[in-house]
Amino acid sequence: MATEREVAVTPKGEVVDGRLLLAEAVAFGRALRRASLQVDLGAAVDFARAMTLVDIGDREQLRAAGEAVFVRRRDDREPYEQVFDRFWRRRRPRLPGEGPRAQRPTLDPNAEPGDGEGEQAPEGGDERTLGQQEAGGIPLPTAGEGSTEDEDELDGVMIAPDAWSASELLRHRDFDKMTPAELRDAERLVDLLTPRLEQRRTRRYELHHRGRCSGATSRPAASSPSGSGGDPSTGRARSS
Amino acid sequence: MTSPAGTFGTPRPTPTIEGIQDAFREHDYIADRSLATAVFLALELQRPLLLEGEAGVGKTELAKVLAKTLDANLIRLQCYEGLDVNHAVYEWNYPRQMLEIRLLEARGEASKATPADIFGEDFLIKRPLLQALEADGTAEPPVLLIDEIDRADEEFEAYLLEILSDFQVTVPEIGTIRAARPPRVVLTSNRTREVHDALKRRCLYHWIDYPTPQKEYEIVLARVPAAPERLAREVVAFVHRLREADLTKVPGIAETLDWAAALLSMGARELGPELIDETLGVVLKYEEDIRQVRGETTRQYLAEAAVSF
Repeated sequence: MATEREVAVTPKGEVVDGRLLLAEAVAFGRALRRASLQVDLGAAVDFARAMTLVDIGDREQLRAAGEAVFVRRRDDREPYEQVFDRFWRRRRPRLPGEGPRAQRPTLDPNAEPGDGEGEQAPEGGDERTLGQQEAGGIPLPTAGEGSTEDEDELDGVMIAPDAWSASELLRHRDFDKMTPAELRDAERLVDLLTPRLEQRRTRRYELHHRGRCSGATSRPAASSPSGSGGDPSTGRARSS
Repeated sequence: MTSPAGTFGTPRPTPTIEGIQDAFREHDYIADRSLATAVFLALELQRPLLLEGEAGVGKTELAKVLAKTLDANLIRLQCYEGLDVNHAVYEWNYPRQMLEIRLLEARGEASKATPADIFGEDFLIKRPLLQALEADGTAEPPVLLIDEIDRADEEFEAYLLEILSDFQVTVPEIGTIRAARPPRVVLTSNRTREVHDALKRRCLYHWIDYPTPQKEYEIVLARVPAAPERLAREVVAFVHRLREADLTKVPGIAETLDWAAALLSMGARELGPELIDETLGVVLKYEEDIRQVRGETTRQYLAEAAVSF
């Protein structure tokens, strides 16, 4: 039963390690989530199933399959294309059905500790770039800290369009998605802000329509009861 | 079931992406690879397919062609504001129930009658969603088209969620009706509002774009086969130029086809400025748009279109 679950068969009749497919799908889903697509685990599972149905050696088929599963609105399509490009370049030599079989054993031990879901690959696997950074905070698509030998070859092809500096990322990140370290950084940045309050001129220096004069003399009429034609005594005399 | 061409045949072999593309082409629907892949996955993973795109790019048509291809029934639910369960799922046939009660009284059987006598299936008006669930397990499951879901209220969308995940409906008086084989569901949206995320999560998604000139040219030739190639080419080029212009309502593929058919019926062999001005109402549906394009702009667009394609 266990073997049944872990083995998938591609349309070409090849037998593929199901856990590997799932790990790939989850990693891809993670990368997409960081690109602000709304990806849940269900979609990743769907994608893993989809990978057994299409020819995963065919870039266009795989791209379209992922698009159908992960993209949920029109604006998602562009970030999806970018992430897929990276995914394809990075994963291509290692996708099952591609390249020599001998490569798989080097991957499998990595999938084992995470078990099935490939949820976490603790140290230095190929999951590191995708999984670890999620927990570690800001993802740096360009050469990150402590790259493994896997990443080095990839960084060579990484190009600018979706590379941001740490503070740029911080500036656009939701507070509730920040790690404690990021929150601290953000707080520091907030402290640096000098509040620029709106300025308003005082009426004292306003130019009166009859020329420059002080506030007190500019408004004599205000104190005079307009009903009595400006004579303060008349009004009072009548009322008493 | 009699024509093997364009269907997957009765003992249905697993369709392939190319198979879907070819079968759609048989029914004069030109689908690109990514659309065919989305359809293929929707069939294989048994997920609803949510299609979004501008008006007139062939979303509804896809569902129709899919039904033809699968040799299945097409059940269509057109959404509108205020659509409720009574009109989408089921409703009791109230007048008929009243008549039945009268008849029972006349026959003197009213005292023996039970609620089951007037709440039977005979008195149930089945609306599209219930029809789609009711199909028997032997036949090909129907294609359920839920058209323009963005027009329906959010409450209805929430209700739809339930149906799309369980494929069952409970009628209190009768019981639960469950689909023997879940229908193939196609939802379309014109994006007048964002469809709720929970619904999207259950669906596969595809955005249908305006086609490339080459693809649209193929579509025109497939749908209006009598059109001379030159005319088709010019019509497509001109419509593409129009889509770049700042218009209230940009023409869709449906308009291109209408226009080609209209020009053909006028006996036109090629486009000319006067001919365009006369027939502009077929392509553009707003008075301001027509006024904007008619005259000098037509000539300009025509010249530019000739260069571009």
